[in-house]
Amino acid sequence: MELPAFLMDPIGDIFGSIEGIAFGIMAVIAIAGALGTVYSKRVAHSMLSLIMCFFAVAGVFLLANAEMLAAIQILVYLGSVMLVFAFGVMLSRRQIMEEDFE
Amino acid sequence: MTDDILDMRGWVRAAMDFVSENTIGMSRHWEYTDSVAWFLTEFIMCVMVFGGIMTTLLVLLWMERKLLGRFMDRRGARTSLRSLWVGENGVTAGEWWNQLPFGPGVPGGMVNKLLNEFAGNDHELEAVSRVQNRSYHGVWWLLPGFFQNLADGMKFLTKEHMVPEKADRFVFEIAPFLIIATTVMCFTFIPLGPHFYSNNSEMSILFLMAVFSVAPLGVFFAGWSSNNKYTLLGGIRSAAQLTAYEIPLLVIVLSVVVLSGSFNVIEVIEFQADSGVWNIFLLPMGSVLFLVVMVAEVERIPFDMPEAEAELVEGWWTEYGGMRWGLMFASEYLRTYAACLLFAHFFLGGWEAPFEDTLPLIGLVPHILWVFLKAWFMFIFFVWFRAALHRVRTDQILEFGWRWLLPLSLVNLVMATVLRLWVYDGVNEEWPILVPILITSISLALFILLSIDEDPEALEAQTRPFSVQTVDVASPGQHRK
Repeated sequence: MELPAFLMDPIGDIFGSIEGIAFGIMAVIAIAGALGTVYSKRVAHSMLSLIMCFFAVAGVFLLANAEMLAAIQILVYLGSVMLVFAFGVMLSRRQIMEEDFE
Repeated sequence: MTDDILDMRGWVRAAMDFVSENTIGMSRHWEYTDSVAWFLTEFIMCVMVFGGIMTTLLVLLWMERKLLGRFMDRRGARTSLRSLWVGENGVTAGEWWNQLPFGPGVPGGMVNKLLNEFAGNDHELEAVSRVQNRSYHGVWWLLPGFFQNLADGMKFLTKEHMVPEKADRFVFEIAPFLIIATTVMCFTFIPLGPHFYSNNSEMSILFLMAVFSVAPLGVFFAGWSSNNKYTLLGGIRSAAQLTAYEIPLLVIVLSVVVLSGSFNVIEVIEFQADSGVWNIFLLPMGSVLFLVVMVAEVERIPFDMPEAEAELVEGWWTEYGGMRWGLMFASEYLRTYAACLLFAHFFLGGWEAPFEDTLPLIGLVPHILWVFLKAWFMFIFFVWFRAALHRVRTDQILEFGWRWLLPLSLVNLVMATVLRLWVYDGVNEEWPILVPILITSISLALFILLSIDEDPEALEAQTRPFSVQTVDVASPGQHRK
């Protein structure tokens, strides 16, 4: 019986396709983050998912040798997340110290 | 590249090549020999750089303890600086070197004794000096007081991790990871020597700034998720303050980049070394602005609104305890350390020894030592600010950031552009020697002129320029003897 390739040649598999593995992980994280941004019930959770998504996309840019784009992605978009979240906290109703609150 | 007798990367690579050739190279996977050697080299360099940063972080904490203790005695800066290496009344407390077996520390102790008698702090505040010296007495039987923070860390580790009942548990647990991980990640892009770095990407300054600007998000999340109005206030304050100071910071860094013509930290330092002039002499205003903005970015005392103890308990980290608090405290200091190292790299020539061309023997000092010495020197300023200045109000911070720092940093950017385009001698690749001298002296003169803002006559009329004047001098010679 022929064993799968990654069992026969583990080092070759890891070092041969490390970019493929990294891309797979990044893609899954990005998709999960994007879904989480839309479906989270609280602003903070969706913002955290958005951060996750942005980081994963920056990682994909890095894999594509677009270093500048990755750095700008983190710098600009994460700064904007902060502002969006500030507005979210100010405009949405969060029950702080819930028992005093109605 | 500068020569360095400490070619750490080359040594590690050679050792790993040897290891890899004799293990992987012998097996049927011989074609991956280079990849494995490369991976091991990168891994070991990362561990070494982080280890170096973490162990020398103890120096920062020790300096802050000692210096701040002396500054708070109101004995002035000189006494405080001396306290870093000599004790009080001719005695350095602890004297652990005399307790080493077989006495290797005795000659050093004798020299120290001489220094103490010759230049020590001979003041008479016996009790205060004992209290401020408590770092020596805490665990002196185990380790010298320098390692006090290891004991602190062990204490943090044994503490319980508590989450407030009404807190948003998920975000509350995630926020410290965001803060600590990105803070540690900063040191990936900060080289400690020409051959002593963990990563040398082409855009390292850009990456550094990107990673440096993530931690405020974690601060905001931590403040929000604790479900406590003080932490929320601290988080919002930090968001407002850090977005206001991020822009001048980036513009100042951009001016350094324009001046040196590279986005790479190592190339910025090499440019300063090759052109023979440190950036601080070309952009004196920029360096001062960088220092001020960095103090705000790492939230140290004149700008520590997010954790103002008097109003907000401890601000955004009120609800954290145990090792999470300890690690966030450490990451605060790591950010300060990163700021000091960046100042040394951008403006003080990094690992360039001063007068390297004129003093021949100074090149024998390993370059990594210069990096650390310059960073620690900059940290003295941080402690000094903390002792000398008071906390400013939120609106003052924001106004200062938007209305003064931002325009000044733009002026600085224009200066850097003009200097690089029309003043820099591109043929010989060096600065005309008059330029740094002129810029530095004009800036110093302007600074001195602008800092004279007090009315001397009003000071004459009022013997003590304080709003509160005591009627009697507090019993001279009674307490302070």
